[in-house]
Amino acid sequence: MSARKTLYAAALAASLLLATPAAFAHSDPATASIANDAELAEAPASITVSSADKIGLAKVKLTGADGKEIALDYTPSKAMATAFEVPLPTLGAGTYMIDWTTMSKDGHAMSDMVQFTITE
Amino acid sequence: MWADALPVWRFAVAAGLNVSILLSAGLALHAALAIDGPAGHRRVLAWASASAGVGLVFAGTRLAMLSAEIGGSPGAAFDSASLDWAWSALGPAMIALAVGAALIAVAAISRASILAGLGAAAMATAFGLTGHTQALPSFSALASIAVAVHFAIAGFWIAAPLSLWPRAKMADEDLHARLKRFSAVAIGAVPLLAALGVWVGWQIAGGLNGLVSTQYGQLLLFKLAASLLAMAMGALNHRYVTDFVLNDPVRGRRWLKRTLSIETAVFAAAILAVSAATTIAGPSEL
Repeated sequence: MSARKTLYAAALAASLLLATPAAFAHSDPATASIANDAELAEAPASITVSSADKIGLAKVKLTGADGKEIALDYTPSKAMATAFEVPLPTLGAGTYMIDWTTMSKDGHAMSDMVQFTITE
Repeated sequence: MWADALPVWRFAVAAGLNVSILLSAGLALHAALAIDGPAGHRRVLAWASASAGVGLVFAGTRLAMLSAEIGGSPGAAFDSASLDWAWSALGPAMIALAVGAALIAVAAISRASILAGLGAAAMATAFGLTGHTQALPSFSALASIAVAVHFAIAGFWIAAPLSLWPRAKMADEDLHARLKRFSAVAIGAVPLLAALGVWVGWQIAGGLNGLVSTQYGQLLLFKLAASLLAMAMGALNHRYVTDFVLNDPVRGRRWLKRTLSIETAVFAAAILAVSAATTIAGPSEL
């Protein structure tokens, strides 16, 4: 290989290495608009699950203090987005849990949950 | 609780999938490039086809496990809504794997080398279609191609202990010719494998800091170190052992068995490391 070709190869390798993404390639875990262990004076009308990267909201479930699932009027779409607003039914005083599963672009399923109490 | 055991199962299935598909694609490439010679062609293609079949079972298991994970219980493995999501992530890769396995099976029956090469290419494409490169904010397409090429070369190298093993029935001249043909390809391909691995790892980890400070990056660095050790064994074979096989067959075969055994152990460690990097060292561990 000539000196010029070696130089071109080295420059190409250096430029590819230096063109480093600002962040790790994994999608960040999603967060919810309701904090875990929150005590709310009013029942929330919805919960928003969001992430810095585009994700899919594959599953979301609302459970009451008795462990029984409460139906949600929400059908997860296949669209990838950075935020999903899930409307909640009218909730009375008590403790609830919302758990969700998101899909990242790299094919990872990530589950998380929040528990909150309505004090009204 | 099943969720606690999930990372271990994910790791086991990924390791099984990686080993079987790498071997299948690698052996198919050996057949396509005539590394095995006319005498070993049928045997190598039969191994490649069997390994592809095992790989498809692991791929199906991975799909069912992801569906169960999305659904939140093992019972959701075949739930249509969860399976639909899992398919959206893994479906294109599974189709490519199935096409690759079918091409290799047909190649094993018809002994058409070109089909074996196409089958290996389809399997390499499958690995480029999934994983962390899909989430890269830039260079995602380039990184996917790099992963596919990296996978194909890795398979070619990993299959070497099987098709180059000095069996008693193999004539010294045949073994020597196989080693020469393998070296002719490996001498250019293996440095490319290392370069692509470093670049993809660098991109996914987000730079040097990500490589040295995260569990994911450290596993990739371990894989690189294992590759360098295997490269040293390859250089030893190329420089000395290949000629020993003709000039001093007893000593040559003994040395070849030793270096191929070390390479096998190193490959196993590298595959376990990359399987852990793509499963256990997930986003929550970073």
